[in-house]
Amino acid sequence: MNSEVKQYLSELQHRLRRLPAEDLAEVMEYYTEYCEDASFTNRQAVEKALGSPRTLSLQILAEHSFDAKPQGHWWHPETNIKTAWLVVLALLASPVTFFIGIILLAGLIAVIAVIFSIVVAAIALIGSAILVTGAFFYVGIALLFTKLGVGLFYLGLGFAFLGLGFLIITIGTWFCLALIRLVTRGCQWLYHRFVKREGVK
Amino acid sequence: MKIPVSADLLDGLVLALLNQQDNYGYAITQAMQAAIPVSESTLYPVLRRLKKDGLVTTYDQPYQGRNRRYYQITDLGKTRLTVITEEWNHYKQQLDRIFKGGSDR
Repeated sequence: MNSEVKQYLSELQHRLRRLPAEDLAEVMEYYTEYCEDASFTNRQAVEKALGSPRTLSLQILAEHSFDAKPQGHWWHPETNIKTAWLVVLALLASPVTFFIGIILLAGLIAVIAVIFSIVVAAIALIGSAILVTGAFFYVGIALLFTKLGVGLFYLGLGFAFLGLGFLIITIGTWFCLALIRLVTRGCQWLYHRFVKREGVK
Repeated sequence: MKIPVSADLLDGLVLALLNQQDNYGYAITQAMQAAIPVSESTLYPVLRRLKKDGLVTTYDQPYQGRNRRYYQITDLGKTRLTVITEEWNHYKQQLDRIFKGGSDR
């Protein structure tokens, strides 16, 4: 095989290195065989047919991350964030879908802003909750040695506040993760709607 | 005129080609491109999905000292092809009705 074509393929393989070994082998087998059959004579010919290694690899990665359905582990937002980002890149890569990619990017930034403000509000809430709980505990312990009943009451309030705080943190976290998952689903829909159709040249 | 081809229709076209004969990636791509404007990188995801869904299988055959991977339609694939062909014919009929001026409407 032509050395320029070999170089194209090795570049493609490098860009796909994060794929599971089996999928990577299959993809490379397919495109190596394709290049052989097409008898490309130079790099330009390959890129004219398949696109740049970067474009092709993005398409492959995006396609792959959607066939691997988002099963469990949705509480690990990293995978979903990666998926969303891949869709943005794939959309931006093609002139036909570029505009949609920009819109999606703007939407994602808006979502990030929303999540960020939720986190800030949560931190403020937690801060004040800690102060209140601390105050209750302080008063409660102080009163334990003089007025036992009242002291216990305040201690109880303190624990209740603590429990409430944990509950709110849990709900807030769940909400943010659910939001991320929802956004990822939206990205997948966009992908299937705009990118998965055959690319008209 | 650019008529976009849906993913299902793409599946059907590939299945139809394979129903005529087993073939390898490059040849399938060439045959598809003879009929519709489709980019080279479109076909691999289609083939991969068809294989994953059990509609085609693959086998390797040596060719000029290297390997050629042939795709072959399965019985399940033939069933799916029939379904898609029916839907396509129905769709065609509906469109033709409008183009040819409609009869009973």
